[in-house]
Amino acid sequence: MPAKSKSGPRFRLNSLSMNEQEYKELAKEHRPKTQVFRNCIKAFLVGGTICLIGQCIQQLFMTFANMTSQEASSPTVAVLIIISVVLTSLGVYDKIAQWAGAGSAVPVTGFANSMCSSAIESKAEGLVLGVGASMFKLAGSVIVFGVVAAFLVGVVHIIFGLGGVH
Amino acid sequence: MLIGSQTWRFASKPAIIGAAAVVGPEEGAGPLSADFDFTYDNLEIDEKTWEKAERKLLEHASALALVHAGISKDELQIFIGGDLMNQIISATFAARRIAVPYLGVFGACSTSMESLALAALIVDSGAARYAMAGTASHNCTAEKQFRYPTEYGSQKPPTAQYTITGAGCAVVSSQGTGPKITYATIGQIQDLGVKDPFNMGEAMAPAAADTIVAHFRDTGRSPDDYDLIITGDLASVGHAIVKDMLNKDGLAMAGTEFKDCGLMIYDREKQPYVLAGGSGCGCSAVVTYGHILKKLKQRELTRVLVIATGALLSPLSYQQGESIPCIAHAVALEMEDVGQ
Repeated sequence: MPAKSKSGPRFRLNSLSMNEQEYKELAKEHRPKTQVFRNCIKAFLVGGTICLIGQCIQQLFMTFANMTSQEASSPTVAVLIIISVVLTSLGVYDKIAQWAGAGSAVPVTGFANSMCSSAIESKAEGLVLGVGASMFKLAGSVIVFGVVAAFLVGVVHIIFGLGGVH
Repeated sequence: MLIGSQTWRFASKPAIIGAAAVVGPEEGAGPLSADFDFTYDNLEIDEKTWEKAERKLLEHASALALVHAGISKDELQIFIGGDLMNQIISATFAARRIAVPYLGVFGACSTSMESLALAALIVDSGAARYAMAGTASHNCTAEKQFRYPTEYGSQKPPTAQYTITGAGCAVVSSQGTGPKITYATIGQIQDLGVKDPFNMGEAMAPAAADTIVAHFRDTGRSPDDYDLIITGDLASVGHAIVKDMLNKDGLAMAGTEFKDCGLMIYDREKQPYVLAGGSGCGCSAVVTYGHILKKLKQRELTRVLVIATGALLSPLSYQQGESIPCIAHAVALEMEDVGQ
């Protein structure tokens, strides 16, 4: 018997009969739990470590290249991106991410990883239709929603005339 | 010949006269490594693209299967193959080199037993003397097509499975010696509303349970008629569910061993990245054609029922919020008593 939605025929074996909801209940008992609390701790530690590394790099630029903290921020991000791209190319970043979860996805390194991994993956399809077209496959939505969010914040800023750095 | 509602009985008992299993490095590091006919030491399979790698696995396995069967390519009358790629390009492109009449089939990870059942049917009907069934999967082609780029850093849940890298082929004939194919039970699509592509074991379990129950109903056999009943790639979550469902249905797997290819191919303690276990249409193919056939020939097993399970989703269907239709096909393999 093909199983269909609640109103349709039920899934039947010889004596066992169930609908989608009943199956969900049965299956739930056998599903290992995603460890949300442990994942939060791991994400906090790895995300924090990446930010700490970024802070150290920024400090180095400020100390040895005589930059202000604002001047140092762009080269700092560039260095983090390069590190992420190298780790992605060496096949290490995805392994870190399986352990770290959101910790390695949220910082700028995660964005670099999403572009680099898409580029590597689509290399076989050529430079234009492959790398060029697919590089933003994952990162594209980050940019779209980033721009939309920035626009909305801008609107709020205009309406309420809140202060801030221009 | 049809018996019951969905089982074929092969009167001539076609035999698997030769088979081969070719795998990648991760499967070669697993507990069944000694049973595989060839293990590549690199995931690229010495090729430039993942798609070419998958095709090469299938070409290699098909060539080895012919050698083991002791026949030349000219004697082969049909090749039935499939894989997980869009437009089943691995099987089709491999068939270009095999260069015999070809039927392409798709049943996701159930393709292994779907193609074997069809090969047996073709041989049994007299449409071919020698038929070959073969499937392949590659971890990276599957990741690329169904999930994210292989190097993308995203955390997978513990229910996710790891597509195996490997190919298996079997040559079926009405003449010659080898494990016999006696029955095939063709499954129906089952869909109990699971939408999560990272939990395919849960999606596929009802299809497996349905086909197992149908097989025993149609053949009049019971689980203890088999030394081993093995599902394709339900892995830890799906296998536990199907066991539970069958128990609740009053079909306890007593007097037999009830296992899963996806749980046997890797050592989940030493290879934790496989999460719930192996999957892919290569999974049941390499375990059956590599491991189980050898056990049958060595007479450590005499009767085995292989139920290959397939999740028939596409990347588009789950993005559009569709649930995952699933299927399972069962094939009974038997070693006849000596002297019979």
